[in-house]
Order: sequence, then structure tokens, then C-alpha cells
Amino acid sequence: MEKRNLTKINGEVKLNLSEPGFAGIVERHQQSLVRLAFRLVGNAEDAKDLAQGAFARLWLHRDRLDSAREVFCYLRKILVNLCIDHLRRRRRHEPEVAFEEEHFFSDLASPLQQLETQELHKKLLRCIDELKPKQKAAMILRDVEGYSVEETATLLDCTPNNVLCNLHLARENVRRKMQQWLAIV
Amino acid sequence: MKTCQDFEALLSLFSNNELAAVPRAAVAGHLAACAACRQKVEDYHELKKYSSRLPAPELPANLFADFHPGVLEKIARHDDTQRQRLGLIAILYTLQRRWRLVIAIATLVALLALPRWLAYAPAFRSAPRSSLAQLLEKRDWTGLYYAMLNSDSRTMLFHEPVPVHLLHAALNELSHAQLENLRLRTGLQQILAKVKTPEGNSFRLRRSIQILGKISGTGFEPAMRSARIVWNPEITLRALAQAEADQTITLRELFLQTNLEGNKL
Repeated sequence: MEKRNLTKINGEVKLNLSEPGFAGIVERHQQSLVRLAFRLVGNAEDAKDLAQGAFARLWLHRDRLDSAREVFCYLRKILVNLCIDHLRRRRRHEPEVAFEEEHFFSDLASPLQQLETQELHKKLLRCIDELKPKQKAAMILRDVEGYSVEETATLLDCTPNNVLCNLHLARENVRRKMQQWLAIV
Repeated sequence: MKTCQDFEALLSLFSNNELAAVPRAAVAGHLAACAACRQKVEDYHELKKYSSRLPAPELPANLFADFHPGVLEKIARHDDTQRQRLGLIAILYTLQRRWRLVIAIATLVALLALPRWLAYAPAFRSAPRSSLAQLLEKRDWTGLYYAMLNSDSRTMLFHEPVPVHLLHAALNELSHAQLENLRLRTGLQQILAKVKTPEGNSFRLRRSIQILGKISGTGFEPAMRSARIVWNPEITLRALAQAEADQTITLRELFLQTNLEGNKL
């Protein structure tokens, strides 16, 4: 899995945000961005649309950014916010949208492993998907994607304490729903 | 002495090493003595383990085929919106700068419109209002419809006593006419189709349509459905048939009576 530590991005690289430079940035970040969006919204087409929206905003606000690190952070921050807005809209208008689980289980090593973990992972994904948008984003960024609390706070545009609060609520919620599964394991 | 409830909110953070030193030591002290909380911390550990091992989603291979053009299209769309916004601001700015011209045009339009308005307004004001009895006598369904749309005249019609035999005959005819007469039925439906009756619409308009629905029976089914009203014309007609023919009755009394018998108001 790609290392996603915001602080390890080379901040000294001067940014080239001319049109060819922008095309290079899109090329470099598109996969990871769509994957992150997919984790958050659970739908490939929506994830692609949201990632494209994040790149469009990057281009429109390119004057404000100086370094590659800023671009990296900016893209993810915008994307996470777009995803949260999307989830909120979806909760309001289409509360029963199907989560495309099958995309998550195509690369497991053996049939035995699939049998053992697939059900558990499906249940976990479903529980995470039922969380409130902000809690869901906090849990995915921190527990699934592996960002630190501070990085999660930066991406969610809130304080670390706020992140911890959302994390606690999210984990508590998921633990309650997963309790019988965890007992079996 | 602190209880499990006091540590509840800290357990998931403890299991993920997200607590500062002081609360961490306090939680560790509590866990040494509490098996239930230890179990919860273990559950959080397991949860963390499975969350971090969730497989990365496999994206469809063709998803990125038109990715960059899509980004450019989004940028262009944003530029268009921006341009439209700027265009509107420019128009408003021009109007604001040429306010004398705007006032002159507005005055000219008002002057041109005034004589026409003066010619028609008195006629409108003094237009004789038909009573419910007259409308029913003439079988003037269109007139009845527009009279019902106006809240003042509706109140008057609603409280106007009319002979039972007249009301019975008229409602009976309307109920049958709209079933047999395609023109009348489509006419009524067309009028209603133009009148939107969603939730957000004014109460007054919905009320008018409900009342009309009651008067005309099944001809107003679409509107009655949207107003969530069920009306059975037979009940109303039966109630009228039972009354003495030379007696008078108001629409309000009729609806109150028939409501008691099972009609929903």
C-alpha cells in the first residue's frame, strides 16, 4: 500500500503548475485520490467524479500553493470535504444507496482466506458505511488509511480533540454492531 | 472512586495509543482491576487490526480512461459559471450607474400601463359576485371553481344556505357529467394539472382543491390524491337525499354532517 504520510512528502520540490505540470500532477495523484474517495463514498463513479472535482479546484486555486506538499495536502483536504458533503447529501436524499462491496474483495490470496475474512470485512465495511459522514471520514482516515491524529485533523479541517471525539464515537458505534463477530474471532 | 462509565470514552483511544501520559496511566490502573473494560479494549484492538487490514478497493480498469478530460470539463464548467456571475454583476453595475435611465424607463412603462389599468380596474372591482345558488342554478362549474379559489368568496359560498334539492341535483349532475363528458373531465383535470399541490404549496390553494374535490367527486381524483383526501360522493348524496327537499343547508353543514358519517375532511 502506498505510504501516505503527509509530513514525508518532499516539501522542497518547487511546484510546476503550468498546464503540462498540472497534467503530471493529475497523472500522479489520480489513483490514490480516487481510491481514498472510493473508501469514503463506496461507489466508483462518484469517487471519480469527486476526485475530478478536487483536481479542478486545485487548478482554480493554484496561485495559493507553493510546494508539492501543499498540493498533496490540499488535494486530500478538498477531496475529504467533497466526500463528506456528498455523504451528507446522500443521507438526505437516498438513504439506501448500495455500497459496492465487491470491489474490496477481488484481491484476497486464497479461497480459504476469502471465506474467513470476507464476511467479517463486509460486516465491518457495512458498519463503517452506516456512520455519520464526519465520524466515517475520521475512522477511515485514521484507522483504515493510517493517517496520524494530527494529519486527520488537518484533512478534516478541525482540531485533534475533535478528531479524537469523532473517532471514539465511530469506534464505539462499530464495536457495538460488531460485538458478536469479534467474540467469534 | 471512578467508575467504568468515567473511562468509557477513553478506552478506544487507550487501545490506539492516542492518550496523553496522565489519562493513560489512569486508564491502565482501572484496567488492572476491571475485566469488562479489559474486554472492551481487546475488542477495540481487534477492530483496529481488521480496519487496518481492509483490502484496498480494486478500481475498474477503464475508470481512468477519460479522467483528465473530465477534470478539464469541470474546470470549464466552473469558468462558465464564474463568467455568468460576472456578467450579472456587470449588468447590475451598469444599471446602478445608469439609474436615471432605469427610472425613466420604469416611469414610461407605468404611464403606458396606467390608462389601461384605470379602464379595467373599476369593472373588475364592481363585477357582480354570483351567489352559490346562482352558480348551481346555471351549472356554472368554471365560475364555481374560480369562486372557490378566492378565499373571501369561498368563505361566503361556504356559509351560504342553499335549498337541499338544488344542491342535491347539482352535485348529482356534476358527478355524472364529469364521468360521461370527456371534455368536462379533461377540462377539470387540465385546470388541476396547472395547479401544483405539493407539500410546500399554500394551505389556501390546497383547501380550495379539497373543497372542489368534494363537490365534483371523482373528477378531481389527481388533486384529491395529492391533497390526501378520500371522498365518497355517494355518502354526500345520500345525506342530501335523506334531508327534506325544501330545507336549506350550507356547504359547511353538509361537510360536517357527512364527515361524521365517514368522509374525511
